[in-house]
Amino acid sequence: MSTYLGGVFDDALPEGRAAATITVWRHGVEARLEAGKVYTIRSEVLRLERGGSTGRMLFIRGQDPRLTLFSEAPGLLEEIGTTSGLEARNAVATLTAEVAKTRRATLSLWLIAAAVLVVLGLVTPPLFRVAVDGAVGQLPLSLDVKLGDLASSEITSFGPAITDERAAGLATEILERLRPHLPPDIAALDLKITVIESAEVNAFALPGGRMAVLSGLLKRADDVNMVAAVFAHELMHVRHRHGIRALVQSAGVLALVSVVFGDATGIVALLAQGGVLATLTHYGREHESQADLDGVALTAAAGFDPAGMPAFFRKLKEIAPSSEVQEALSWMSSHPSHEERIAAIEALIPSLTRGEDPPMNHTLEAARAALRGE
Amino acid sequence: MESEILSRPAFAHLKVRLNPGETITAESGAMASMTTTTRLTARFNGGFFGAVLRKIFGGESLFVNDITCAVGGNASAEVILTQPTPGDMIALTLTGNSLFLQSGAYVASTGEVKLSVGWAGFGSLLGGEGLFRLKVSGTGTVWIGGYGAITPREIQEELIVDSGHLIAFEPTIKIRSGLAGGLFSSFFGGEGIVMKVTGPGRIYLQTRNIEGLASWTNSFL
Ligand SMILES: [Zn+2]
Repeated sequence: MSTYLGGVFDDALPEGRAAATITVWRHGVEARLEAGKVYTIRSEVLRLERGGSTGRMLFIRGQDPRLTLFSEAPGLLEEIGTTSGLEARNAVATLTAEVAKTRRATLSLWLIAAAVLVVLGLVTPPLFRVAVDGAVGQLPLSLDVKLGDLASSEITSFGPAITDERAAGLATEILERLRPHLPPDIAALDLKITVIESAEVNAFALPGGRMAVLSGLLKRADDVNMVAAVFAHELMHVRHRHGIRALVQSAGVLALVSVVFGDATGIVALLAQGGVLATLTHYGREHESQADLDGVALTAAAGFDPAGMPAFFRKLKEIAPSSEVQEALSWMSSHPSHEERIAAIEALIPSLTRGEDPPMNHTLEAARAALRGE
Repeated sequence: MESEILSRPAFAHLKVRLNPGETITAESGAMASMTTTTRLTARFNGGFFGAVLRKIFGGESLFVNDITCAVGGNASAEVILTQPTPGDMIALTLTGNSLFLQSGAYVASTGEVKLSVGWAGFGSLLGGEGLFRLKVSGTGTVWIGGYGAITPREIQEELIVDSGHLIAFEPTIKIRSGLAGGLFSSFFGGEGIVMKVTGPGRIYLQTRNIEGLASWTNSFL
């Protein structure tokens, strides 16, 4: 025996209605108010009707016209059909037949809508790409910053920020060395990096240039060139506005759907249940290769050893199988290190001119000591 | 928590006094003023895409602020919440029941009220408001605002309602879109598409209609 959430319409109640829990018995359907009052509609007089905004609301009525029980909880109708007396079962059968009929009508409506979508889908992909590029081009860079700000509070969900100068200073120094080699509008952004205490080997950049590196990455990297490679890769996501591009892409599909259905907000909201960071930092494969190739060029221009990037990818592969900590895999799972990716990066490296490599004020060794609490 | 709706019905706004630790959730644009004893945190209502699309396409705000009284002892905090349109505001009590709200109607709610986005049925499609609605459920108080005055109405039999005037309805309400007075007079008489609502249940109507509010859905193409 289960209980179902629902409610009661009763003229005698002060508000005319109240929430109730509904139970099905052999002798009838019972609704219990929180205040303790109990209503019972006996099986032999029970009438059922579907309705409400969604069409899934079940109305249960008896002889008293002033009393209606209602519930949208799944399974209630089935339970009335199996538990209640014969008359109630007949009522369920009648309703089920009616519902099946309207469902067929609704289904054909959906099929028409789906057909329209398929046709639109066949025509649109080539146009779609152009449209996304055009749309992103139209959006001001300040929008990236705003989006990044909105998501930035989630950064700390990974762990506390590390303020020790040896670690935070190293991250900032690497970032600042890369900055002058970015296009002017990106270099002018409020680029900032936070070191977050976490065993995960991960780093990410939000639209607008707010970045985070998890301390696991600093612990696992062999040298500063590997760290710089990851930062440069992430900066290229910022530079090419991949986060907002991903959003416009998904929004574009939704726009299509919404044209067909005359609706936007809701479908969007339905898809919106995922986390903010996941949305903004989940890029397509194309975006990843772009970030790799432009990123490795950036490291070279800033005087880091470009070999740090392929080396880091190999390092990830090497850590992964032996690691007992599943988290160590996280940058890898968001950045699958395919052999082709490494090959593409290595093919580019010989053509790169490496900039001047001034001595660093911070060292990875000192940062590591700070992370160990020494 | 104490609350009072002031300047009714034309320019209603909500004054809330929060005791230490108490929180009120408000639509992101609703906060007009608050004492320094409060702490405000933004949160996505219905997630991130909604907030983004609001920016891109200019629809309804889908993220909300949690305003908390951040001091202890005998201190308290005061916050004034407003709605974007000139009109009335009402407080509704939820006791385990739920309510669908049209876009723009939500002003604020107490912490125990759950905000979600719910499928509002095919019938609501043609009204220009879309298939989904903000759904408030749970236990507590929710404040809604309207353009003009707000009147509740109990529905038993079918009632024809202009879609722009309907601001809230209970989930027991069935909505069908239809043409007012036949095809010809609908298209040439100016009334056009209306909503036919059937009970049992309660709907809330606003006395004025913001025509342009729904037309944004076409503006991005
Ligand atoms: Zn990446």
